[in-house]
Amino acid sequence: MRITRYVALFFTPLIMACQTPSAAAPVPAVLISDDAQSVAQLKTALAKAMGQNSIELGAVALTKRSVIPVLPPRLGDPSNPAFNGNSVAKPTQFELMMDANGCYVVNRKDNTIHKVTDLACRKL
Amino acid sequence: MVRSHLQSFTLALMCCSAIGLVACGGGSSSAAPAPIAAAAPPPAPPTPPPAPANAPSFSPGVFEAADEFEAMCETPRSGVDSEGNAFTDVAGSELIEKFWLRSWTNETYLWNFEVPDQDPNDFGDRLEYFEILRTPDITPSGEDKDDFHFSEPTTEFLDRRNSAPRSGYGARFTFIRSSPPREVRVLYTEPNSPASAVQNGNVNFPRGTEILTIDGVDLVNGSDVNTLNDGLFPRQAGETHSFQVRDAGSTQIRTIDVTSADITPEPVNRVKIIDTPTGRVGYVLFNTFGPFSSEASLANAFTQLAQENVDDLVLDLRYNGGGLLAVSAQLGYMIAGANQTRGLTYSLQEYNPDAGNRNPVTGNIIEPFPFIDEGIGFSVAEGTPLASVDLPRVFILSTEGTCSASEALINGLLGIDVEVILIGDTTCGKPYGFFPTDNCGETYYTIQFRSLNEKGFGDYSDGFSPQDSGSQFAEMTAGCSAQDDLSQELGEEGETLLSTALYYRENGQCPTPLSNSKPSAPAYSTKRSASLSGVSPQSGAINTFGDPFVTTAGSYLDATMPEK
Repeated sequence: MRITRYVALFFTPLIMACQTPSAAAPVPAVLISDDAQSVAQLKTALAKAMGQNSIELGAVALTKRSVIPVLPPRLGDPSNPAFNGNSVAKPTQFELMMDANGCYVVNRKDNTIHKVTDLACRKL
Repeated sequence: MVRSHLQSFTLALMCCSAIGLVACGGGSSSAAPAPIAAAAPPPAPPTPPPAPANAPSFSPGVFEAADEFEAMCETPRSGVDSEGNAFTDVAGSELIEKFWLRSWTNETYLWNFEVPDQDPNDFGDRLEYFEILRTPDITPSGEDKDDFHFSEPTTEFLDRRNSAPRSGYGARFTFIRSSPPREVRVLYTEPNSPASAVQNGNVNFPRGTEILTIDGVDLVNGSDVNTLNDGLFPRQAGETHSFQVRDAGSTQIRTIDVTSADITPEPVNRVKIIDTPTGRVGYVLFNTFGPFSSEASLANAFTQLAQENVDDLVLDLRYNGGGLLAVSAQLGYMIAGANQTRGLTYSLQEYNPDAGNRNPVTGNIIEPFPFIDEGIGFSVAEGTPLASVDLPRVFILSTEGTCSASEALINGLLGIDVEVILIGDTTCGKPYGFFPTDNCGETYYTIQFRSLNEKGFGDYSDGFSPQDSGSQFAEMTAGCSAQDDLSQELGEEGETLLSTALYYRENGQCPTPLSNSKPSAPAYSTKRSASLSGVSPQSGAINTFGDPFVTTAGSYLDATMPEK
């Protein structure tokens, strides 16, 4: 019993050391630049994640916030909600993350992960 | 009337689409013009898609999954739609399309148990069959229980949602009389628009202004409706048209030239603080929950109201036909504040009894809309705290044009015992919603949910009505009946609905009704049940003067007040 306790005391710090966050652990991220090319790359990845040909981003500062809202389809003429005056549509929220392999986005509703190709991002 | 209404509404879009098609149509690889030649033999008609081997058969009360019939079309589409998304249609038949409608209705329609199950083989085309796929019941007031059942070609559906901004003057007109002697007046104008610009010391189109002539044609009695429509609804920015107008309460006729522009309606049209001996009253004219900008527009307005420490709020929803429920839930929070809303439901969507705890359209778990206290990303960054004025009551100005998400606000606040004092007319009565769904080129609208408040209440299909209205069937709330008053600008303290609200606030009762000689807006009809397909843009333009309607110039709204 005493041996077991010693073993535990010896190994516990090592195990804890392994759990210390490292550069490889996924962390929220933001774009390094929100230039047109970066935004286009991000939108391409998000469109693929949504299964759509294209998407529009909602209100977001891409270099400051990791949460990225993707807008639902518009209701139509904004002055005339005649066709859908009780719409339950909301933006789909993604989170930009990074790990040792680069950036990716996570759909916050279902936690699905979607790769983003050649996008420069940094830890938030 | 409904059909003509949409005709008007879609006119500009269809024209634009047509131009686009013509422009793209010459995309041949040949650079040289084709020589004039003798008539060539007509091309062989395309080979019709093969009929499915096994046509579905009707068995009463037995429903196949709608998925089994989905996108199996009599005329399959190929390629991509106007948004670039690929069609998934395969060869099928109109009978299969009707079976899809039958199963889809059974799976998603709110009152699926009330729909008589009829054999698709006994009906003509898909639209004829769709028309009967709704409850035949009527409400206590004698109205159809389901008066919101319609469809439109998917091309029009996509065109409309991708068409903003629209050309116009930024004036919303109302047709008080649409046949001679016609009467067309201005309801309101957009800020910083041609309609609200000033010429020679006068605003071009102040509220209540009557339009007398357009480009020399007599609007009141003239027969050249094409010129009238072209002038009233310019198809593109930069068109200049000449108007003779007469302002409300004036005998003087003004002549003005106004040039159209691309108009993006401002959801919160104006915010005003009214100082009274008994406190500060905020006034907000909020016209639509439709565009994504409505989130930021309201957030900014309530930041101002909170900073001004208002004691009461008059929310002018008289022309607000609804839109995004989530923004409506944010507005509920911004009025009532954290203490009155914490942990409570703003709106719960109730689907048909077969749906269980899942939305039968999306398959998602049904989650109530709470009162939302932060931005959700439409136009305010996700997580941004919203300001609130923390009031125990709100005055809401209403007409029959107050609809859908606007009514959800009334119901949501009543559900948490915030006092709603309704000033004006009975609201439209639409606690329902739907997910427009395409199949084989037609987009169908069928009622799929009802919106309930914290108390589980959602029975307001005959609208909310001020308690003195004498309405037999509407849901009664505190407040006063009053007529929309075109003689004064919205937000002016003398305007009838606002002055009635202020009177009630001071005295705790409604003012004694006066005989009203002021110009007022017409009552609106807001129901829609006809099929909206197969309309032509030109007839739509003519019919603009065939039915009374309310419209934003350049937006071609419904011939009646746009429903929900």
